[in-house]
Amino acid sequence: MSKSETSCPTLSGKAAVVGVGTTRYGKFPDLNAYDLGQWALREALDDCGLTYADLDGLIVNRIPSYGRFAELCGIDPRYTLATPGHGRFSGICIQTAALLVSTGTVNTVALVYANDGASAGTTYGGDASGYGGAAGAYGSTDAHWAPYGMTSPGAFHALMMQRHRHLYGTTPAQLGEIAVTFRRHASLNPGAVKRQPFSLDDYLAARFICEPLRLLDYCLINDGAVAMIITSAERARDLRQRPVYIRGAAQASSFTGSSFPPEDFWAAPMQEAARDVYAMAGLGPQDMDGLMIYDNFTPTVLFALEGFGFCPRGEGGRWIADGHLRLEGAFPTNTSGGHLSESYLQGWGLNVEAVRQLRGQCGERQISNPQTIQYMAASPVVTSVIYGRTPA
Amino acid sequence: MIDVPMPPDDPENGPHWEAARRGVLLIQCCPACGQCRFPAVRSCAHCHHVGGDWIEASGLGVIESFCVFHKAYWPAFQAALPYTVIQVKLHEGVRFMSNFVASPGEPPSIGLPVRARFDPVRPDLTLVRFEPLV
Repeated sequence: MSKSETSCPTLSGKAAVVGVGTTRYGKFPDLNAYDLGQWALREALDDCGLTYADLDGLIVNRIPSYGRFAELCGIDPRYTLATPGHGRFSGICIQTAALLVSTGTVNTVALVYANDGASAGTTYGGDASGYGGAAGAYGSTDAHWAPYGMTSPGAFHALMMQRHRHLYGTTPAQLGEIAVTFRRHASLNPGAVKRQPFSLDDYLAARFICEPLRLLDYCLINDGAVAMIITSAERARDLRQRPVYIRGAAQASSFTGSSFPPEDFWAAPMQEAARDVYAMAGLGPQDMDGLMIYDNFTPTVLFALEGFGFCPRGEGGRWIADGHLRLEGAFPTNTSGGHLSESYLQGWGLNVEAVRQLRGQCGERQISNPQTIQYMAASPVVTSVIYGRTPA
Repeated sequence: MIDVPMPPDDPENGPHWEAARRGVLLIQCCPACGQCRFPAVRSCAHCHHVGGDWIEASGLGVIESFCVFHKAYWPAFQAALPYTVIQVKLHEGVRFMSNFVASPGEPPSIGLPVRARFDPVRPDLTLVRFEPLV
């Protein structure tokens, strides 16, 4: 049996994000992942006016024990799900919440992500302990290559970027435009960890970590947590904030051979996810008023723009250098500063930014009157969510 | 010689490391469909046959990509910085992460044909590295 034509086309507009909550981001050695997660959840409940008793679904991401977290919150959901701390799971969790709500399985889901990586000393490379290695996320056989010095998600993306440069002539300055743009956006975001703008020359002068990637191509490891409350479109109408509707949510994967970087920069699963999410929303790339793109490293942004069809394959560097990602550009992207400059929140911060943009709550970094915003993440699991101010 | 981290003590891949010490490159091959794979695993992801044969690989391949580490994630690599990791595709179709060994001033390049060489780095570990074919 082959895959269905499109993935669950009836999902569109049936679920809405009604509450979002974020902690401050930085280093909080006195707070563990449970404390951070509860902080974000309190903020999200305050935001929408719902209470703990209204939550009948709980999805946690990167929180060590779902049971402990629910116990601390004093809730007994009828549906509970815990997911590993890989960034691709933010999109998966949001898609799952939309499915649960749209099928009537639950009324209201709390999604809670907490990351105490900075205080826990997470390094993303070297011995594969905890989240220290690429194991299971990028290069699932990485321990085998340790004697050769191969390690880290950064190196995995460096290998991909080297090939992209070789095939298409993408330049360091084109990649640098991504980092410079997101930092400029972060300078307008009071919640961002890094707010000091830098120039393309500053970018090019930054030291290499894993060549061709420089320090400013890497995201920021911090402590922080994010919560979202998702409920049905009907319930969403009576709450404190203007609902933001989930117009489409899709995923696709490319696990076969994924111990090594993909030859196509994940273009095949991105095309599959793009087809599904656009069909579900009844929209196309040209309809997006803003983009939130998973930016663990700058090349991931480039690959996502090509994979989802915003520009032709191989043209990403030139397209980005034209300034499309800037706040004043055609597709303002990662207006919060993203993982590169706001904080590494594994997609969650970007999804909350999409919601806040559509509510018009973004102050100096507000996109002018946005109607639809797309989240997308390129990795062995590709995810995408399209948010809209209206359900259809 | 640096005290590099050891690969996992994994019985599946023991024959590969043992053969490397003898200067032989062993990879795994599916006896049912013929697809090669590495590192070794119990069953074929292509045809799902359980079991695999070890075959001697040609040792010939092409550099698909490379990167240069300027940060040491293990203390053992500090003295080697900056060092290069290459991604090689062997003629048998399997990929390898490895290192490039060439004369100074001869950097790796994508598409460069390479052949395996065997470098003892510890008494109990010989690495399969690659050098230019010509």
